[in-house]
Amino acid sequence: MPGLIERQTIAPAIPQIWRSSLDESAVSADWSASGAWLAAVSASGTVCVFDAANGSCLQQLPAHRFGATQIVWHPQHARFATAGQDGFVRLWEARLDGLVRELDCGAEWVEHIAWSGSGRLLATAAGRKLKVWTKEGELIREYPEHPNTIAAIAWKTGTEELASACYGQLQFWTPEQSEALRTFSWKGSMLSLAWSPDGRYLCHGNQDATVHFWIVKTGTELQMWGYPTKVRELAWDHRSRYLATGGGSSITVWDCSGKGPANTKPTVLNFHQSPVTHFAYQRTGGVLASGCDRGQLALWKPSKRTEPDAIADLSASITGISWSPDDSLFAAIAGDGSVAVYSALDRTG
Amino acid sequence: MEAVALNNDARVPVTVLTGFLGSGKTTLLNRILTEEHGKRIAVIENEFGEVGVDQELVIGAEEEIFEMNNGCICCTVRGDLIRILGNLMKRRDKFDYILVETTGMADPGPVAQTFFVDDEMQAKLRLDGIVTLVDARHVWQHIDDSDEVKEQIAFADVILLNKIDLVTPAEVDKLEARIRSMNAAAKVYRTQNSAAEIDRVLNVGGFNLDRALEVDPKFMEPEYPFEWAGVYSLNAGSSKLRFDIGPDPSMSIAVLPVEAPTREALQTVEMDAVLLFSEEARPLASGGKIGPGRTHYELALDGKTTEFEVEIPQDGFYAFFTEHRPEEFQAELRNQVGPGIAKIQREYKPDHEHDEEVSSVGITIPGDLDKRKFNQWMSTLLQTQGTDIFRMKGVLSLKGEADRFVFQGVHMLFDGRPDRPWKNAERRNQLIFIGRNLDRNQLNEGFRSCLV
Repeated sequence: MPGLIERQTIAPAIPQIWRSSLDESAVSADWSASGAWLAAVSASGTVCVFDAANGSCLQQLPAHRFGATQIVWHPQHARFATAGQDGFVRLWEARLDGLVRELDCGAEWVEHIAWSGSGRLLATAAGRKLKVWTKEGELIREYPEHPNTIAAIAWKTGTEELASACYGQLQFWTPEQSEALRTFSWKGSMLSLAWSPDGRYLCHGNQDATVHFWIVKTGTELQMWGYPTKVRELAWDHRSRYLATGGGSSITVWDCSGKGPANTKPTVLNFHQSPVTHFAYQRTGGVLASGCDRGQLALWKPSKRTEPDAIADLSASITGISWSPDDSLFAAIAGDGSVAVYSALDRTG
Repeated sequence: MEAVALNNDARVPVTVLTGFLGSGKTTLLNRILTEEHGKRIAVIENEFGEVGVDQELVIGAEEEIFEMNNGCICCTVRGDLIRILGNLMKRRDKFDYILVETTGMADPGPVAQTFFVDDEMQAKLRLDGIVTLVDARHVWQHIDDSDEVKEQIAFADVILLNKIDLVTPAEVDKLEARIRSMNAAAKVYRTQNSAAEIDRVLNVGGFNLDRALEVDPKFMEPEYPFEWAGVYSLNAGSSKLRFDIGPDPSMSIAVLPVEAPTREALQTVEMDAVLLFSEEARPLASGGKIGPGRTHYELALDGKTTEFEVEIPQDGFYAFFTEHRPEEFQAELRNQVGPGIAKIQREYKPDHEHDEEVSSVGITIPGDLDKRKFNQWMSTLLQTQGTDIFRMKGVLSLKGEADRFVFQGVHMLFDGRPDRPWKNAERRNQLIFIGRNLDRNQLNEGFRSCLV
């Protein structure tokens, strides 16, 4: 248009370290505690353990007959758990090349698994059943059946307190007792849960295009409206100050310091041209890596700039993003089976 | 209201299969899964029948209805479907088609809405149609008092009258007439043992705007409060209308002048007659006088034979609209010279509104619509009656627009866009509402008030 200069974001490319691919759509990936391995599972149920340095596949195992849903490494040991649509969680030893234990989770699809921060406990959610196991795979507790399919679970950082969400309610559990510690009622469908690392807030993204905050201690609620689509993507920065939220092609970052995000204006990050599907903050840094449905990736420093520091492209919808333990690398996986590792070295100073 | 335009679809088509327990859903599913039709179909089962669950792409589900915090009925979705379809789409290259079987008691509303309300579902999946199986023998036990049966019939794009071997042909006719009075837009097929051609069940385009009104025109006809009309050439003066004793003790009648003894001319006064019939009738005993114009009479036909005077002010053509077919009473119109014969006559589909809680209202009106008025009317209508309007579809002629405007809707969700040009075709508006407690006259009048 005459008289107008279109401003273009020409951000530098994020350096790719390696790229590989799974047999089908990649559904979940995670780094081993040492940072030496990256493991990923596919929609067919295959798990691949890659050498994080060069991407060579060290182990390939058929883990779940009807497809896998999640993979999580133990926070200290060379052991990982996979969950699948065959009703089982399987514990694997990375170096021994084999299955340690099969955990029967009680329903057809196991959709959520999570290690407690200490690594002592593994929580599994399948259908309406929530169970907690030891790291060796001994069942410690089976909680009463939830009234609806469990939509999300999350351990409170540094504790053995577990939150679970299903349509209509949010509950808090400990391994010591079968009864819920507390129940928060909320009429609606929650899609994800995120504790602030300091345990002050528990947030959920919702089907009705809102984000809900609970100040857990007091049970005080706060609702954020105005998202274009349902909100599933949530990520806290390690200082518990910023909460990044998806729900459309923009990323909305709330500043939760001081009195909290009520009546504040969030930072909005615009770059993606399709709905944002995944993002994650560094474990101990302030960089946010994001991916969208068309496969674009971006690195941001949301507290400093609202434009991406660097960008990259994977060929299909981003299905997961995970930072390496030392925050120098991040892995992105995609709907066409791509698994790629990028360097997040700070090039902008 | 949402307006979404979507063409050249790469989305996966989805057929929703509904029907009471025992209507033959599982048999149909088994047929579809075992027949050679070259399609790879993923199935989501809500009722565990005899389908081999060994099949990798047969997934069991449990109905979970999610209402939203805002209480809006159009936001009510099926959480189980969002979750399962979302997971299934990770294996997109394994299938070409998805079939969702609902439980016998399922409300199809939230199922259909799931495909329009959830962004992800809408981006990746295309609801193709709702197919409802009806057990021709046992449906009579539920059709009057089960909301689920009524809703499953009302929401359907295709209805299979199944198990027809267990009833007489006359009973099937009666059932079909009943079902058509509830849902005039669905395609109805008769089957035995759920043996339907797969093309009649899949890819029916029930929610496809390009095919919004691609239904048998006979079923698109609105229902009328009269069963018959005939146009007579009458001279000024008095004629006599005579009835023998018939099946009903009374009959409504209206006489309207028309320009010519043609079908087109008759059509121009049909809506006037509908409106006339909606007003209170003037009761008339044998010997009473009938005049053309804005009165609607209820003739008492309780004697052995009855006779009425028809007073005609001037020579011309007159259309007689009668509640029942005149031959049921051996009716005869005699003027000064002898018995009159209708120049043209037409029978109408009977109106079942009085005994159906769920019905269809079809509207066909020539002319152009005022966009602003139509928008206002439609949004008020959906706000106030959206809960009771299950489905709607239509083709509209908007003033100043060269293209036809096509739309379809589920409850309060409205989806519409311009279609192809009218060119030389007669510009007219054709729409149908399927729902509960629909007020035919109110809808007709409301729509007419949107004309330019």
